[in-house]
Amino acid sequence: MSEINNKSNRERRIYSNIFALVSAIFFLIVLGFFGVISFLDVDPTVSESENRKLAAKPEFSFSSLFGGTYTRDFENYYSDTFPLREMFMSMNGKISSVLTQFSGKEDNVIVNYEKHDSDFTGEGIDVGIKKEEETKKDFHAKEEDAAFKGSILISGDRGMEVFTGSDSMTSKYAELVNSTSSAMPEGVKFYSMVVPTAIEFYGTKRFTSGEHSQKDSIKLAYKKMDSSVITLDVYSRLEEKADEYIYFRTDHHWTQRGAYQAYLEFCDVSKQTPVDLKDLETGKIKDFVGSLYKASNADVLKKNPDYVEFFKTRVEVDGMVYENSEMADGYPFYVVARSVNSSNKYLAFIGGDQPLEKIVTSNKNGKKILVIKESYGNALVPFLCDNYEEVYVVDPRQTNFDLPDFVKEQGIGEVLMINYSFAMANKTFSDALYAMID
Amino acid sequence: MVFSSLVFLCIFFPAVLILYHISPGLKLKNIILLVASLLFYAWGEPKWIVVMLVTAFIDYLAGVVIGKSKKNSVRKFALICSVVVTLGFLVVFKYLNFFTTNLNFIPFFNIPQTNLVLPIGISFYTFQALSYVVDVYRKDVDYQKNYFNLLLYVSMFPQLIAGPIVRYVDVANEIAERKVTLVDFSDGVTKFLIGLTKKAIFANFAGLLAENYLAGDLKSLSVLGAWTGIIAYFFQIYFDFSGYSDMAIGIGRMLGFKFRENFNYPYISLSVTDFWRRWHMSLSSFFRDYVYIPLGGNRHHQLRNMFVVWLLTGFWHGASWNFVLWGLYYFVMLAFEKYVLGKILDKIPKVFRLIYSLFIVIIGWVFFYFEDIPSIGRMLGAMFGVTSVSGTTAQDITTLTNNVFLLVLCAIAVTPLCSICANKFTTVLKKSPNGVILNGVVTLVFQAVVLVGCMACLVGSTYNPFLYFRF
Repeated sequence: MSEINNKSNRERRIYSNIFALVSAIFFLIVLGFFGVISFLDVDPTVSESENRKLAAKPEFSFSSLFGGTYTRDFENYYSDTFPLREMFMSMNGKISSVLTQFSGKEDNVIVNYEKHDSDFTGEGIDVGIKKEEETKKDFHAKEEDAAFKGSILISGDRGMEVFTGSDSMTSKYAELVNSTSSAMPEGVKFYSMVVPTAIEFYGTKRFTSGEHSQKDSIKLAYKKMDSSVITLDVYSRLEEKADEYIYFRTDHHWTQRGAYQAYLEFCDVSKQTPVDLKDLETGKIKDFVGSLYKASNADVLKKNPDYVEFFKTRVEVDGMVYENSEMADGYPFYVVARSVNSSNKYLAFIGGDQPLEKIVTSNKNGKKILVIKESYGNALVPFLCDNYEEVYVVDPRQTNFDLPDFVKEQGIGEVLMINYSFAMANKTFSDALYAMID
Repeated sequence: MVFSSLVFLCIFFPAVLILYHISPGLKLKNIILLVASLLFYAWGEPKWIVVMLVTAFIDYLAGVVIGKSKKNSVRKFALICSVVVTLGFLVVFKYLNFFTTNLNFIPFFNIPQTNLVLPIGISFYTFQALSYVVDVYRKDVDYQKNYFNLLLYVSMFPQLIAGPIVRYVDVANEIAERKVTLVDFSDGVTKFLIGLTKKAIFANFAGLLAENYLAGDLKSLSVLGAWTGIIAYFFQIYFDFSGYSDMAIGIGRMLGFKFRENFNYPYISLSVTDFWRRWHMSLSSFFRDYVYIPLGGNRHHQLRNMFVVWLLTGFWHGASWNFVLWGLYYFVMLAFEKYVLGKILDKIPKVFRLIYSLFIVIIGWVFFYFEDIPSIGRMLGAMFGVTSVSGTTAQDITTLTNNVFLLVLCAIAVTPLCSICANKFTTVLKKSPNGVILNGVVTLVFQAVVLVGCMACLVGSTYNPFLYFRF
């Protein structure tokens, strides 16, 4: 009996030794394999999937070695050019999505990203205008470039920025609108338009109720505005058309179709006849992957790009960009462009964010309007051309001059202030506008 | 170099293992290990490796003098010299700027700051070197006659930069004689891979979640967000640090050393006292043996002794007031437990004791994470609802849902559950006729899956810090 036990014990020992040997060899081979291969293979220099340049092998020098930079650079180079890196990356992506992206029944995933105040200084097509140092506002110097947390909700193939309102936010914004409105010359009609974003119509209830409700925030802000300010309920118009393509899925802006709904509301309130979309020449700019992808890196957005549907103006238009109210040395721009070289296809509308734009139309009705806006206003401006002889557009973040004076000098009768709901909380925008009315 | 870097994992480590195991004789093996350790250190700290070499040399000399001399006064003098020099380095590199900064707050003080950077691992190897000299002085262990052997003990790469703090007594024999069986090696691989998983998967993903909340604007944290963040950090720091210790222990085994465990499931503690018997055991036992007991232990001035130990424990973690606060926080909690709460704790159900302990530990990590006092206040404010932000926000609820698997897995992995299951499974397997083979296959598959998974996470993620690296 004990002989059998001894025998089986010996057998066991042999087996466990064999397995231990296999495990040891396997461990060494796997690690060593990658070690050796990484010295023999050709190093890629660019990563297509991440759209960035990979670290190059650092040059050896004793100063970099003792300064500690050589070894650090080498580690970066080594992991950037690791064999089968793309495969490992996608594996990591899968592990990560299982552990940190359980989307549940509602199909919701939150991606948090670092937002900077400077992200909000606006982007425009380079039309050649030279922004001189003194006119260009340096927000970084004035205030540290505060990073704050932004959250993007990914639901299906749509990205949406999460909105959180507060009482102080609506008060501050109403105050800004009131100050701007009362700074205007006597007799000027002042309209305020606050535009909700996509999450309000496509997000689950949790993201549209309580403090997240843009409807409530916009209502509250309007309520706090002076009676002389004419408020525009674009919310209901957009809500009605929510099943149409009124918002991009990969970008935080609305489409021009969305902006058209707001334009209809404006015409209604200001008692003007809106142009019919059917009468406008239209076209599409394909493959637009916008800001929400850039912030979230969500693969699903990249794989499902948007397109920009544009509507040209019916009337003839002639647009010029100026640095400031002196309106010297202007540069021409397209009110609606048929194609955009930048990856930001939303720049198709009025050349993006420019300091001051003046559009002269073929209308001869003597009506002049000034639009104060950030980028949300861009898609709406082209429609206004149908109703006015002159349309002025100012982006306070890009310029600084005496705005009430300008309105007076140009004989402008109406001012339309357009902001999307997130801009209500934006200090860069409000500081810049205050600077122009004080 | 750190264990979770690809350069270590795929170049340094396999090369050292192969060279080590093919070279004949212990002498050559020790030389290889020493050279490898110095390279390992110099890779991250090419300049200040000198400090380590000098520390080891001074303590070597002191050891020789103490060991050889019969005169008590000589022995004492040598001990004091070595302690002063060894701790002196630590003070100069780690605490000098802290002291001068604080002194400069006093009017008319204007001491210039040094621009010394903390050499990697100095807090760990200094304590190892100290324990050697004191143990020789106490005649607990014979002095080391060969400088290079002592240097090997001080600089050995597995535990060099982030512990565990290995005692010379525990490895003296192994430096002189050791052998590695195949089973040792394979067990070492498993232990190393468990550590790597803790680090590359659990700690890094929990860390991302923690950073999401803790590294941002604390004023906009909701109650739910604050708790999610600090609980994620609570997991991160455990997996990070115990993962590193596991890797060190695993590497040690592959090289024939049997280091003691550094963690014993601290997050299943039933009291704060219990927690400190399970967390970073090599550090707490160091303070117990070299500070607490020499001061009188619990025989006289117990409260004072506890105060000193916890002040030092806090301060050891970093030259900053938050660590001092963190240490004192534990002093208060432990004293309170000893004199008041202890009797009550004994009477209440275990689950409440667990909740109580974890609550205290989690609050402790707030002091540990935030290095400036205002942030600590803001964070505690957010956790307990003293904030203008509402209790929960939609994105915080969704973020919690998104990370539910991560958090549940973390919660399971901090308990002994996995290891109990694995042991049961092995016992059952081994009883069956082909059990040994099955067990071998299962082990191999486990090792392969874990290794590839960890490599994917290390290659694929850009977030890979080591928390205890800076101590």
